[in-house]
Amino acid sequence: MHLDVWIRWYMVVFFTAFGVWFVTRGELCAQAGAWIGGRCDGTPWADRLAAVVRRREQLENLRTRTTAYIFGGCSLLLAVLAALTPLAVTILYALLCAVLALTVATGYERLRRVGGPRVASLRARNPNAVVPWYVYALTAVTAVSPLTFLAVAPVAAVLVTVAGLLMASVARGVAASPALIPGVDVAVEQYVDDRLRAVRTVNLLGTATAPALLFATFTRFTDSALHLTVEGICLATFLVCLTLQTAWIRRRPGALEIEGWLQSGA
Amino acid sequence: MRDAFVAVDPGLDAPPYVQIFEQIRALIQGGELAAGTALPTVRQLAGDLNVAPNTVARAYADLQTAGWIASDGRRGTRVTPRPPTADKRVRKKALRDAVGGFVNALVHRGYSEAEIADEVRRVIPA
Repeated sequence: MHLDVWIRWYMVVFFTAFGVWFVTRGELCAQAGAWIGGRCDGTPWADRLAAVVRRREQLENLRTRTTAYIFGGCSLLLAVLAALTPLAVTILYALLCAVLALTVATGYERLRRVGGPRVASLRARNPNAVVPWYVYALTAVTAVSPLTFLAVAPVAAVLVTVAGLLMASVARGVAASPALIPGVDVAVEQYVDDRLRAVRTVNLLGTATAPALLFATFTRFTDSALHLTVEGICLATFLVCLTLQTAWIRRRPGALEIEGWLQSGA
Repeated sequence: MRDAFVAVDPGLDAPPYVQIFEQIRALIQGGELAAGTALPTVRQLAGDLNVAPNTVARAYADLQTAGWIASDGRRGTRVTPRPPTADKRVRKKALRDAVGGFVNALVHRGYSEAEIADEVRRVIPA
């Protein structure tokens, strides 16, 4: 079978799997409880933490999965288009990236606009304390790497680049977003806010690098040396983000960690 | 040192910028915000409190005029090394402003100046 046909069916499977995942259970912007789990169960902090996470989830109101349905539905539609029409798969993939970026940006913009009275810490926050500046720089370089494919897939390359840059800028926005501290249990609320900010930022950075990485794997290119370099950069950045992501997600709040944090008043 | 917090209560008569001003002043006076402590940017504090940036900017400007904080260009806004507690002139002006604001708020609520003065004399006997 010709390589182009393989790539087309590979993308049909990819679009379908992605679509099914997001329509059934995937989330583009997970609730607070998904990142702050129950490692404190049985400790004095468990109830306080659970109450704070519950209040946070009520305020953020992310229970509706509209964005996941929109994104999953688009992915399934693209699977049908890839299977039944001669449209270039690079264009279809770029459209998926654009929809992903737009739904992610819309979801996080909604989070930024959560209202209600709250208290504010007088500690100056530095967005670079969440994720070092060079990770953003690496992500931006990865996001623009599809431009090296301008000669073979100009429209798709531009769309994937714009999508990656948009998601990287949303990640930066989340790192610098306002704190959400309703003022009922200020210390624990601030702890939860700090953790959510970090986890969501690294998640978004990982998501921002994925479109360029995948684009490089299936777009055929004439200059194999440049192609390999681009893929190498994308893969390295993706792995950096994945490592940060894993480190943050695995570091669920243990009782000792919260206790230490509360006592130091950090 | 534990973080210091401020809040804005929309139910109070005092406008939000005065509430922010008074809370930060009290935190500095009480030693909870030490000299040299960096304060958040106007944008950060306004976002965290869910108020307009102009509200925080006005509170910061008033704090700066009164000598409690100083803006240092790129280094941001910090608590001044020598807050104006010891300066008699500044103390007197701060007191006059606070009492003036308090009396104005009561007048707006329908009390006469004589009623206010009587009540103050009752609370603080000569």
